[in-house]
Amino acid sequence: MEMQIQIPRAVLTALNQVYEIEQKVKKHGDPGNISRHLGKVKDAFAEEGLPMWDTGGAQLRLGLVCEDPMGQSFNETRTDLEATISGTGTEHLVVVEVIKPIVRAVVRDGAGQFSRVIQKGIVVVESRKEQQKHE
Amino acid sequence: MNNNMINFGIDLGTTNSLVAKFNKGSVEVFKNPNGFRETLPSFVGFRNDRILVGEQAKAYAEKDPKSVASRFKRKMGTTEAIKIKALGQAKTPVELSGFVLKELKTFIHTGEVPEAVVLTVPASFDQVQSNATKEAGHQAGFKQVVLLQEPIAASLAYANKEKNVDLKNSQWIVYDLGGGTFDVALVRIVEGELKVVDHEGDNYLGGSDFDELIVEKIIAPQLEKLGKFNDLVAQMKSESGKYNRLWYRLLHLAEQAKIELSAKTSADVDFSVEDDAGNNVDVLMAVGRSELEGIIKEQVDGTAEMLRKILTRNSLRPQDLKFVLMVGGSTYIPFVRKRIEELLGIPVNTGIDPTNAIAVGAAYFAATKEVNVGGKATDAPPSAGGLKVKVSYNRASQEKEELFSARVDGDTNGLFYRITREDGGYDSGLKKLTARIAEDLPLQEDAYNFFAFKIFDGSNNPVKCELDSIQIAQGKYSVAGQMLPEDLSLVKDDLNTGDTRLESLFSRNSVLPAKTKKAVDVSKAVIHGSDDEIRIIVVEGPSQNHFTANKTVGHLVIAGKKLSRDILRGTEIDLAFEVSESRDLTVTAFVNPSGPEFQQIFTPKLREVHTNTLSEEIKILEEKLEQEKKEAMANENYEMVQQLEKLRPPIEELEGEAMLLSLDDVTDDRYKLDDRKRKIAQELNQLTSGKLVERLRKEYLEAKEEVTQIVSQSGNDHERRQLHEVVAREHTFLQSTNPQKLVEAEGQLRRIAFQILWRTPDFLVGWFQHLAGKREMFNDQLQAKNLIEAGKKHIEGEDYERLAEVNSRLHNLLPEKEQDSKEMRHFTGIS
Repeated sequence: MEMQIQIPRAVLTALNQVYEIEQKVKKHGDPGNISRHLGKVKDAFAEEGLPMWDTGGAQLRLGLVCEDPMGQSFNETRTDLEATISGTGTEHLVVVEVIKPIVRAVVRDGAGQFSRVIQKGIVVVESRKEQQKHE
Repeated sequence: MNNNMINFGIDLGTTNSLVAKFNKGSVEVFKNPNGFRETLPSFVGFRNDRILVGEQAKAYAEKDPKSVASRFKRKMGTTEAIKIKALGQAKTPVELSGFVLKELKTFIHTGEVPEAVVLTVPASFDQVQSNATKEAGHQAGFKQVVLLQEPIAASLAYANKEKNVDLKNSQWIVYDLGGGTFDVALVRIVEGELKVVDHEGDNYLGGSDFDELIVEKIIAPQLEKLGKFNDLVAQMKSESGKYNRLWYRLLHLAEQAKIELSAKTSADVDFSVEDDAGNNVDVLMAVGRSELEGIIKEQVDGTAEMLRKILTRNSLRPQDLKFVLMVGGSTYIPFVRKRIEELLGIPVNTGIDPTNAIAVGAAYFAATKEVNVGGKATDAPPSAGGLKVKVSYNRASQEKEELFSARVDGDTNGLFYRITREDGGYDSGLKKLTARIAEDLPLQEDAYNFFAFKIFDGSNNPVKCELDSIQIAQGKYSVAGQMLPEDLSLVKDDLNTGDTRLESLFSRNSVLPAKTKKAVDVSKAVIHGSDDEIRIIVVEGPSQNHFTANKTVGHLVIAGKKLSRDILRGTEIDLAFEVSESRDLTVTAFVNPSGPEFQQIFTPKLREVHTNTLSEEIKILEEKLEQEKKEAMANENYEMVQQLEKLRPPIEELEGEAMLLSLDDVTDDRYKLDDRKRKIAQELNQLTSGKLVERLRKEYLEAKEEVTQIVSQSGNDHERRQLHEVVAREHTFLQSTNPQKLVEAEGQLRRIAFQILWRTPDFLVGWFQHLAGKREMFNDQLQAKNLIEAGKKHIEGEDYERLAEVNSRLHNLLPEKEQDSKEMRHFTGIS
């Protein structure tokens, strides 16, 4: 389906920050149950989302879903990631650092739903062998 | 007239390329269908028999230079060919540029296949290099290629934007500092024509050098102070270095900081890393604009030096120049603009978008050049004679990848195919079309995956083929999973009717496992240590039933006794429901904010029936029966009365037996009672449900008539749209047997009416009189008296805005019981 989806920059910034906070919480522990609230913010974006109108004026819901590509494999056919290769190898690449997560828009209309990558994940990838060497 | 013109302009850059089209007086720069940028990195990669162009190739450029070519524009017109390991042969810069141009064609979303195009070349290109560029255009399938020098293109973009500026008899400098290259040119109008008179450049200077400087000169020294690092910069820059990952992470952060510093005077860089001693170093440092300026000064001054050389060579003084036109992403940096102005004393012109100005200028130029190929841009893709594609793949999958294979009958010679996923997450790249093709397609989980299958000729023009879409359902859409036999719903208090209602959690036939979340409001306070409780009840059965008619499958109690502090009315509770494949239901409740967590797992074999809830449920059932009977009597529906009457004895019997059960009864009696209760409730439901929906339908239609009238009399555009929205989806709830949807729709209509009424004088006066009539009930008599006096004055003075304020304050003075006119029943304590 041909469709132009425009997301306000502020919304993407907010989602990226939520991701950053999540990472920090993971690293430093979560004595104050912060992740629960982060989960709520993410759910609000994913489930309630933003209102959107199609060309006929009917209202659709546009959910924004954050995906953490950490640990996923990367190859030349993936267009939802903007990768930089670290180390020397270029085969069996996996994501080892995530600078920005993937954000997808899920548009729900009467007929069902479809999704679009709204923000490519910005990542550093490394050959699996190299990764084992580091660990 | 546009139709005879070329209209398409391409900026074939060293690091990035763009395509733009002139249309009806303005220029559109096309966006990459894979992503959101206008720019396509000028990188061509060959990996696993695919041809990759752009972002994907760029990722491999540095680490796999033997299969990825970049910066080939600088080699145009030379005999040097770039060896491509994966192909076992060399590609010329012309061929490589051709790939970039072909890829840019896919940006054109209008479906046009241009046969003529304007291509830009640097001012430094000689005849041989220019001819090579032309040849690249021809290889990409353009029959006519017109060249345009980049500084001229930038100047045209400016002249078309600022139509009032008179450039006659003047000369200026185009200063182009991009991501990886720098060019500067002197442009003059000679006999009414724009001409590049002189130029200078540095092929290895640009924004990416600045990013590296930020990491090396600003971030790394600070990091070394914060942790123990041995030879940090070298360890970062070396491929096999310990901190090689960090290098790339920091380059991204540096680039972001650099961009931020164009707008702000300080930018934060925030990251953490483990040092040599194994300690975690958290870094939050501010990079000041002046720091950035300090480290890039040398480079920027170098560009000014080149500019000065041009002036000297042409015996020009700074005041002889009209301005320096800034082009290229790096000219966003305020220091670059400031420094050039400072060093040369020529005003800097930032009137155009530095990233796309050259493509835009090329398109303006293209709009003045006639197509001369004996035809114009064609709309329809050519069809290859008799190409038949037979495909085979799984339409439904639980895997993360599915193999797609196809047999192609017909002449595949010189043709390519490409598969892309519709959400923009996968691109096979261009691959040679052969009689048999196979491709592993990665699938997005829990979704319908649509792939576009396209065949292209050697010029990247689409070729018609019967197959255009591949559809694979992943995960939940598959029918292989175990399905839910009945709706699962949550029981909530319905504050409007004083009864309960069901909110659907999972509908029938949902594939398991499934999970969902709901946030509910606490509708009554639960004091810690008290006997109060909140009940999270999940029932199985049609969600339009009354809950007593359905089977309770989960019952989680948040008891006052277990709380360490009170839960106030209005507190939100987050509920998470999970049904496993074996139909175990897990209910988790989080009491916000940061409150305790309650969790319980319910298995279908272990039914939960609570003795005290059971009694209460029976009581509700009895009351409901009474009410229905009364209504039927009033409507003189004696047949219904008779049928209802038949249900009374079993209920009474049930009530008696339930009372005899002790709270900690261990026998299975309560299950038997629960079953009987459900049967009676189902009968009652069947007798009355049709009637309820009928009544609600009538009520909705009445409300619609009323509200439509109010809206047409005094509503504004917004309210008219709100009304329209509700009415537009009328068919979804008018035909439904779900009473809840009707109630919601009516509520929405009433709210619209109330919004309007709240502005109308008659309503406000009436409401005021109603409130004033309750004088003796107000909590604060003195304040109420003053407010009533004030209200009367506002009515006299026709100040209805103030009257509305008085009304709401008076309303707040009423005791709570009066504010909520209906007496509420809290069965679950959530709404």
